[in-house]
Order: sequence, then structure tokens, then C-alpha cells
Amino acid sequence: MYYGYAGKILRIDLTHQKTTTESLDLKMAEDYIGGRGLASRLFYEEVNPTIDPLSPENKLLFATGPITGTGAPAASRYVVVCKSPLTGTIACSNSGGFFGPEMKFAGYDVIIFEGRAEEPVYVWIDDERVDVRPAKHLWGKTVPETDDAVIANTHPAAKVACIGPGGENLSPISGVVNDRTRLAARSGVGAVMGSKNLKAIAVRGTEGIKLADSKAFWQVLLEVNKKITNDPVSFGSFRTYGTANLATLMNEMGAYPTRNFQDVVFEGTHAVSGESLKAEMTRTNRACFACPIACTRVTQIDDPRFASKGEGPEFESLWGFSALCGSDDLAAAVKANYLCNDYGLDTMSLASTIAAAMEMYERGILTEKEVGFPIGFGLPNEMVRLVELTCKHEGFGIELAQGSYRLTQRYECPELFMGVKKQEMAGYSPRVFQGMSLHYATSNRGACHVRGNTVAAELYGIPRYMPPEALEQKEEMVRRPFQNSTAFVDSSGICLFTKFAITHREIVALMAASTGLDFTFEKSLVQGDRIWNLERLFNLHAGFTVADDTLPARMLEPAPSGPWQGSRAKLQEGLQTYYALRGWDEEGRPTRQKLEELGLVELGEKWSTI
Amino acid sequence: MKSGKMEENRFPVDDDKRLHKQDIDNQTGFEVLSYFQRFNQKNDIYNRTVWDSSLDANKKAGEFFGSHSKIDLARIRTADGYGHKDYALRNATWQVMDIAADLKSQSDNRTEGFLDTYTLHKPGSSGKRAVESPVKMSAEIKKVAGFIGADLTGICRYDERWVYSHSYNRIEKGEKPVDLPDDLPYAIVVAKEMDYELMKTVPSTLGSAATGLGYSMDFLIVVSLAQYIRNLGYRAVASQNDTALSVPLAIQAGLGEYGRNGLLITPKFGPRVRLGKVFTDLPLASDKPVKFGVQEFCQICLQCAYSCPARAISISQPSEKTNNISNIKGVCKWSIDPEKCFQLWTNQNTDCSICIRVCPYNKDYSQWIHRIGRRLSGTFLRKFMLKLDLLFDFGARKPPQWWWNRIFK
Repeated sequence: MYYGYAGKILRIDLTHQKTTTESLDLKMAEDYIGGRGLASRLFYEEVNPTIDPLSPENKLLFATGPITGTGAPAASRYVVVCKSPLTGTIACSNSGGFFGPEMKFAGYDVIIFEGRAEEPVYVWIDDERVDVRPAKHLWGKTVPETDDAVIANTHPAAKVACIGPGGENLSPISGVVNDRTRLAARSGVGAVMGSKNLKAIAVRGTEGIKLADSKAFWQVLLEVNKKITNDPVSFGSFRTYGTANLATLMNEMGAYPTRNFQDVVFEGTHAVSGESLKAEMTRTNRACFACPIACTRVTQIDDPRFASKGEGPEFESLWGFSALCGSDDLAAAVKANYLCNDYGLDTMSLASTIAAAMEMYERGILTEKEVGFPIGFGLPNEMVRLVELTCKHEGFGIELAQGSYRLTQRYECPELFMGVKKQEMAGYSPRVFQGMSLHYATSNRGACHVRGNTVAAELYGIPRYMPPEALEQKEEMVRRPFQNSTAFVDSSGICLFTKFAITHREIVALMAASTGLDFTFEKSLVQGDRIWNLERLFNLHAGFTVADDTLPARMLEPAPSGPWQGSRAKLQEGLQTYYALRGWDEEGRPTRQKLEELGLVELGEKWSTI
Repeated sequence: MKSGKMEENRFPVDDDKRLHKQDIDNQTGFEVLSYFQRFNQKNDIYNRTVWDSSLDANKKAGEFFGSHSKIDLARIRTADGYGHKDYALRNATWQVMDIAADLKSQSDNRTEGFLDTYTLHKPGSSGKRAVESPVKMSAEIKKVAGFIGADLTGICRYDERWVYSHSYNRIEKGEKPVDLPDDLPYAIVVAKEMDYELMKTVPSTLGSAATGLGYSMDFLIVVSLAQYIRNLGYRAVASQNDTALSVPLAIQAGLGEYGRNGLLITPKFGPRVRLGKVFTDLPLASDKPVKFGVQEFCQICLQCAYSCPARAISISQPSEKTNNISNIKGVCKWSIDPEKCFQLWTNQNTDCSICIRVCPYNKDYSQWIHRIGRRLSGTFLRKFMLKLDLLFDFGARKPPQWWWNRIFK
């Protein structure tokens, strides 16, 4: 009998169109929790780190956590794990909405896709019944079209996760879209799904989740709910302005990357911010499963150039399509976000790629001959045109769809790539936030803001305020309260946005009450550490070294303006201390002692490259 | 598969697997594969309760069967349709069938009828009545069957593929050869309608009365019909759930088409029928299988699959995949999961029939409007017709109390 967990792992072999069900190993679940941890553990064991990410040998795992779908506040997350075609690291993208809980209601903690279907297929999971169906007629359709068609052919209550044309075209910056507008976007998980010829997954679940101690669970739940709804960040600003509230904050902080990270202050922010989005376009907000925050913006563009309706943008999308591209046109930014949603592309990576292209154009590396029309910073219409070209995979868009690392490599200007491990950075300048600089460089899936969002400490003072420009104690802060903690939160199935209001203790209490397993606060710290180290092991086996834990050279130059003028990323000063605190050697490899401590020795030796 | 689009939606079966094909399959649409095996009656889900201790449903199977003969007041629930009078009526309708099925055979240690063959009968005529025209004889047989009580009658050639590979003796718990002479070239398949209004009340003990009555009536029909043929001087073997699979024979005899829910869908009563058959050497003319769009409709409908509480009905395309040994091997079709299905029955202590109730073909076709609907469901309008069916909620359950009150008005 499983509590909290659904208890089953579904394995779908797309090559032979065979499905098998395995039961969840509770011992493994106790060590790796679920979601990101459990999926990474299963993935690590089964997939050789040196494979080509787009080959049939790569596997695609969808996983939920032990409190996903239990009704705990904002516990709606599922993760997608595979080897990333963008970075070559282990990829783990995370999304909310209703797909994760539905998957759990259907009885599955993890769904593993293997092999490659000969022709496009979609998978229809109705509780224990699994059907692999032809999807030729869906190939090439946008996300809303696919969603409608799949629901029409399955069940009105089905929840759909699919790829857009971006994933079909194997663009390494494409994501998996669920519930029409929610993306597990980063690291190119959509391309892996596309490489498997898997267009969509529809799930309907009718079985509930059993709780081990429902009385205790509800007690904690109410307490957590109260904390969240009383929190000024989680509930206050995220509910009122959405994540886009950060735009003004970041700009005022002087940490708002502008024009492909050349500057840290954007003069047009007042026109493109959470506040202007709320005033001009937001119609209402929407929530994921069981979420009291409801940060999603339901928006509408009235501007005749881009008149349309949709959801979003989130802060990073808004930032990418405004400050990063030097445009102060709100409608253009929102439209670009809609397009990315419909075609299943990662807004952050695409915006960064376009910004890089703009800088290349201004420097004369790109000309009108390659692009087809003049581009440059501060040209919103051209920016949207580039997004459209990328979405439709036409002309210059084909090169943009490869992401900025490959674009800058192709035109021999790698210094213009603003990212780490081939993945683009987010809207928090590492020149100012020293915590972010350390985190960007060491994150296991390339530059990424969510896996160690030290901004919480450096801006909001959660869990305690640390001046952004100083490096002292940041190594420890990045490691424990952020990276390890996020690994734990992502594995539990609760949304990261609750973390402003609640701590591990509450999440652990929820997990313990729902699963009946012995989860404790002390264990949660080790679990987070274990997951982070396991991902690190995969990357080391995949060929990553200490040389990859770095930042673009531009971040090491002083910031040109703003309140922190002259500040630069002090990464190199902190990296070795960080390694030492992690229990890694100077080359960034976990020591044997560390592996023993985490029980990872056997797994560490599984793939024999180090 | 008529329309091109449907064809596209199927994963084709390799041609070299289609070896067991017979001419009739072109008309019925059966896809029988090279590794086809005749079904062993031992693997029938009801017989598995006797020998298969691994079956989960076994825990409550005894109680389930027992409640059909003796009402245990402790099992009676307050829920509408599961009360004392509901049990009383259900068990009463099974009574006739039970009398036959509980008879012990005189020659050997086995039951007589229902799950085993009927051998208790009078000798019939010593001389054969000459048959001039098999066509005329067929018409007469249908007339007689209809007179005895059959609602539908069809005739097909004997097809060994659907005869059990072995019969099963529930008393001695062992397999035995099928007790059917192989020189009976025809099978007469009869169907008895189950009550439409009672079927609306399933799942309930009350609704099961329709099933019980169906079996009891079938018993009367097949035994009388077989005796009629014997009286003409020919050989006849009456059969219900024994000896051979009824549904494929019924399809070959032109009674209807195969549905997603694993049942025979007839044009006149939809899936709401009970089947019986008589094997005979009386010269007859066989009927042609009918097609009225059921298979295409089932491709898009899935109402039974989505409504099945046990999730026992396939949501996939017809395939060769079997769920467990209670499915026949080597036929490309929609296979239900009998284990899950029967487990639900034992849990609720009565059979279920939801897949019959919600089927859009489960209509009262004496009304012209539904006959038009049936016709349109076989055309390109099937999607629209399905939407209409859902809109009017024809598959909705009526409370068993509604049925009781209606009777007394």
C-alpha cells in the first residue's frame, strides 16, 4: 500500500510500443524523495552519460513528487528529466499546471519513455490503460491546436503535455508544454520528446491519492496555507503583479541585464514591468492545481499590431523580450511570449539568442544578407519577426532555433554568448549578485536561475539578508539553503514560490504526513545534497570539467552603470571554497568520502570515466 | 474499416501473421493471426474461480455465486437497487436457469447445461424428414425460434476456431475434450433481448434481473429448438455458455457486429442481448454477416471504456494484445480485461452491465427517431451523433426505485 506516492512507474517503449508497469521502490523514494531526485536517480542508472541526447538511447522521464496533487498548497509540479540536447548535462525541467496531479491520479509517480517511435505518436493514459496512438495529423500543429485535437480524441477531462513545432524541429531551446501555456522549458527537453516522435501525452486519472495521516496532513496544510497567504512576497507581490514584479526591482537594484548583458540598468523599464503589465494587459490571474498564489497572468494585447490573447509573460520572458533586446515595447514582449508558448520554445533562451544576434548585427558580424532584414537593439517589430521566424523554422530563424551558443560559435564570436554550459542566463546580473554568479557557474543544467535563486537572500532577505556585492559566506549560502534546498523542493512536488513563505520543516511535515515515511528536516538536507551530487556525477561522466564552471568573460568586467557601478562577478575567488564546502576536490569532483557519506559510491562507479 | 482516415489510425498487423484467415473473415472483419489458439474453457473467468487461486476476485467469488441462490440478509445494503426485494427478484429470474444448471448429469459427474452441454433430452424422431430447400428450412427454423421466444435468429457454418479447445468440469475440476460431434455443419445462433428499462438501472441487483431472465429464457429457447430439430430426425446440440464462444458465431450468423466492450452489438437491441446456439446437421442456408457502422462508431465513441469503473475496457485500437489468459490468443480485436471486470462484480456482489447501459446503441429501437439515429451513426455524421447522444445523456442511470414505481403505477 502506498501513501502519498501513487506507487507505480510506467515504462513506455516507443520503439516497440510496449508498456510495462513497475512498482515504486520505497527505499529509493526515501533517499531520493520523488520528482527531480527520483527521476534523476532512475535516469542516472539507466542512461549512459556519453550518449547523443537526440538518439533513441536517451530516455525521457516525467516525474511527480510525494505531495504533488495531494492538495498541499501549490503542490502541482512535475519534472521532465533527460539528457539535454542544449547543454549535454542532465536536464531537469519543472512545470506546474494540472498535468502533474493528473498523472498522479492516474496512478503514476514516474513515466519513462524509451526508444523512438517510427512515426509520430501520442500517448493516451486513462488510469491503468495506456494507448500509443498515431499522431501524424498532429505533427506541425501549434500547442493550442494539439491540445484541442488531443482532448477531442480522448476525454474532455484529459490533461495534455505536448511539444510545439519547436520540439518537432529538434530545436535545443524547445520545451514541453502542458495545459496549453505552462512550459517545462529549459534545457531543450522538448527536442528530446520530438526526437522520440512523441507529440503529446494525454492523461486522465480518477483514483485519489491516499494519505498516511490525513489528520496531521490537514493540520500542516492549513498552517502552510496561512503562512503563504500572509506572506508579502509569495502572496503579496506574486499574486498582484505576477513574477514580473521583479522587473522594476531588478532595474532599481542595478542588476537588470540589458542589451545582451552589456549594461545592468534599462532605461525603459517603467514601460515594460509587472506594474505596466498589470495596468495595461492583465485581465485576470489564474492558478495551478491547489495554488493559493495564482501568479499566472491572463493577458490580452489590444495593440492592433499584435492583438491577441494568452497567458504570461513571466518575469524572465518579459525581461528577455524587453531589456535584453533593448526594447521598451510591452505589446511586442507579450506577443513574443505568446508565440513561444504556442510553438513550445524557451523564452529565456530564445530572447538571449536574439539579443546575441542583435549585438552581432550591430558589430557587423551578421549582415542583412544573413538575416534578411535589418535588426538591432530597440527594434520591437523586428524582434517579434525574428521570434516568428524561429517559431516557424524559416530563414534565419533556423539558426536562432539552435540557441545562442551554437549561433555565436557558427559566426566565430563565442564571447557574445551569455550563458554557462551552453545554456543562457536569466534576468539577474551575476555582476551584482555574487550568489547568482557562483550559482550560474556551478548549476547542474547550465546557467539557470531557479535552482539556486540567491536573489531571495540578496534582495528579499530570505532566509536572511546578505549584501549582494559581497562574496563572504555566499559559497555556503549557494550550496545549502539554495542549491540543495531547491533540489529537495523540486523533488517534493511543491512549487518553489512557496519557499518565500515556508521552510523545509513545513514541507517535510507535509511529506511525512502524506507518505508515512520517515522524512525529517535533517534528512532533507542530506537528500538535497545527494541529488545535487548525483546530477554532478552524471555531468562529470558526460565530460564536464572544472573549466565548464565559469561565466562569460563579460561578467568579469565591471558593471558600467547603476548603483553597483564597477561591481563584477567574483566567481574565481569563491569557486574553490564552494568546492571545498561541497566536499569536492579542486577539479570539482566529489571525493570518495563525500560519496560514502551520501551513499553514492556504487552509482559513482557505474559509469567509468572518472 | 471503410473510411481512409480510420485506416490511418491503425497500427497494421503484419500480413504473414494473418494465416488463420477464412473466407468468412472478409465479411466479418476478424483478423485471426498465425499463433491463434482455440480458447480453453478452463480459462473462462468463471471457471478460473474454481481452480486459479491467484485470482484476486476469488476472495469474494464464493459469496458472489452464493448470493444468487440464497439471500444473505447481512449482505443486503440500504443502497437503492441492492435491497431485499431486488435480490429476491434477481434470484427469481435466475431460478429456471439454475434448475437446469444444478442438474447433475446421469452418465458422469458433471453439471447439466449452462456451462456444460445438455444431454437430457428425449430421442426425437426415428426417421428424417426430407429437406427440399435449405433456404425454406432456414426460414422455418427462424419462425420456430421466434415462436419459442428468440428475438433474433441467425445461421452460420460451423467454425471450429470458436469451439473450445477443452471443456472444463467444475465438479471434478479438470479439463475434458469438448463433447461436440464434428460433423454438425451448422450453428443456429439465437438472441434474447434483455429488458431495456431494467438495463437503465444498472449497476444494481435489480438490473441483474434482466440478465437472469435472459439466461432463463435462452435455456428454454435453445433446448426447445434443439428438440424440434431432433423431432425432425436430425441431430442437434443445444448450447449456452458451454462448448463454443457465442459472440463470434453470432457475428458470422449476421446478428450484429463486435463492439469495443467485447459484446455483440445488434441492430435491433444494441448490446442488450443474451446469446445461445444450437449445433445441427439439419440442411440450412447460412446468413451473411451484417455491417451497420458499429466498428467505425466504436473507434470514436469509447463511452463504455470511459464509464467502466474497473477500467477493464480497452481505450486502444483493436490489437492482438491479451490482458491475461481469459482472453483468446491470436485474434486482433478489442479485448476486455476479464479479471478486472469480474473483480468488480464480486466486490459489489452483482454483475455490472454499465458498458451495456452507456452504449449509444442501447436504445429502444421501436421508436422511429432512434432508428434514424442508428442509420446516421453509420455515416460520416457519427461524431455528431455521438455528441447528440452525450448531450441527451441517453446512457444515464435511472434509479432502481424509478423502475419499481413505474411498475406499480
